[in-house]
Amino acid sequence: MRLDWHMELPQYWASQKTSGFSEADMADLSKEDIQALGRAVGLDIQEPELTEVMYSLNALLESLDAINPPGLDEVEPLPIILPPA
Amino acid sequence: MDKSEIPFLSASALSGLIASREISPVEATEAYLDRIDSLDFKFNAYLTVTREMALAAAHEAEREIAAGNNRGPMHGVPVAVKDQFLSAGVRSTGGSRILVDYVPDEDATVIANLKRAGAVLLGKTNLTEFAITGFSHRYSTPRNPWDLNAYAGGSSSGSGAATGAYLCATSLGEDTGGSIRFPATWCGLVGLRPTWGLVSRYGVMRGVWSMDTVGPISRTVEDAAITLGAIAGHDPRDSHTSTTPVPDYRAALGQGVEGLRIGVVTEQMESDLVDADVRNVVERAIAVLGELGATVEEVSLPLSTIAGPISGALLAVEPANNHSKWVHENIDDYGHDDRILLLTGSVMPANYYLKAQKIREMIRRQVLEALGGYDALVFPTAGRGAQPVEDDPPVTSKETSSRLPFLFTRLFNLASCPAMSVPCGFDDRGMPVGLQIGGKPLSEETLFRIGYAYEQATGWHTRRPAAVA
Repeated sequence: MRLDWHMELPQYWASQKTSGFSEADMADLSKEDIQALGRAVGLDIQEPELTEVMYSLNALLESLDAINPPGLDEVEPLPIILPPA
Repeated sequence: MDKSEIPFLSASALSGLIASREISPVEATEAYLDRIDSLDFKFNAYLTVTREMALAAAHEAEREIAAGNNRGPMHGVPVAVKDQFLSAGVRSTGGSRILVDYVPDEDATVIANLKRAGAVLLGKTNLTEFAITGFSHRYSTPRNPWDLNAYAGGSSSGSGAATGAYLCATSLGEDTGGSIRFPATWCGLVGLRPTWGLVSRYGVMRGVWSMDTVGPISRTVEDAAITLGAIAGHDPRDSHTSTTPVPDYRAALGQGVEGLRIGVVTEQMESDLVDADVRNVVERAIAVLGELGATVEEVSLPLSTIAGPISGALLAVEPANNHSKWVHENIDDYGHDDRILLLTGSVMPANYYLKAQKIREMIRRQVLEALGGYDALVFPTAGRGAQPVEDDPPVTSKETSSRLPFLFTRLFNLASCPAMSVPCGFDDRGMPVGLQIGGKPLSEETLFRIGYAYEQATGWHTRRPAAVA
């Protein structure tokens, strides 16, 4: 599919329902999940840190899953804050 | 004046007496060094005291002032700086054992600016490890001048302890999620996080690049104003610094608050995370602003309630990225809290980080929209007073993963706005409480104006903790 960047893209995104996937239903990550994520970035996470990282990450992800303010799909992330003139 | 009384002067008063040559910079520096020698074992405020360099700088200041060359209000004034800033020829640990022997060969711009203003550098102050957590120290834990069994607040804990214990005239901290205002409120001090981009970050060990800001921790609003005036301004080595000329912040003091519109953020005032005694103190402080002539109204900022988790995501991922090499090679060299934070940030899925950045933008818009109708927003800096020092506790559940749920500083970090904490009384345990005043980007003069009017009307800054006598 070829898109006209300016004219069609918003409709395209809307049709894709980019936020239709809800992380809110995700179960907590297990220790094995944490170790797999660690291996993906070259870290071998073992006890005693493993359990604490699991709780810490699950807490953050759970908080973020629960935050879905109206209009989130229309907002662009802030790449740079221009210095005040 | 007896030399031992000099440290109890405000930086501004000391500056005036130095300018009039009633006190010499050498006398003032020796007085502070004597206090550090005899008292800092109680407070653990300093990691490195630069005695010889300080005395040399004081003698130089004395010669210049005697010759009629006064560089301004910081000339000859003894200051302390957080060990998060690189300092030429002086070890710069970042509060970490990893950098225990690291001696840079150039100064951070904020230190260079202080030297250019003629300030005398007493030493480098303690901090939580790499300034990325709130309580965890790799050297001795700084103690609160109001209760030696309590934390001073972090991450600029040593700057808070040193300033509150009269071991320096004024100090510098760094504030990514509240690390200036947090020790300021718990130690009964004035702490200002400037507008992001007003002060150079060159030579500052990084936390979150778009939130790191250097600013003053001082005993009075005027002291904070002259300290900020010495460090602010464009720096070609930090491309994001503002080119706007730095005003004379002292000129705004004394203008009063009549005609100013102040919004009280209801979600922060009514939060369950604010202790009742703290809320009462802050409500009284806000009432004073109304009595002084400001128009005070309630304002709703619904997204303010999620500033904690949003900044939590950024404050996990970005430090983990900054420290990636050491996380992979030296993770056991970090203390407990940093180890858990850095590993957590290393494995956080990217889509969550991106979501946090998007919500940050929504928060920023909401804060700026509110500030379109008000000159300042106010609420407590923290929901409770200083807590007892403890060993870093293990994370035993999701509910225990944050040690700082009661800190309300992050809203302004996320919004890139300036914010100041001003002492506004004491909780039921006798620990200091801070009123937080946030404003539009580059509205530091307004914040100083409000803070000064409140300070002069109430006099909380004149209280002195028993442990510092």
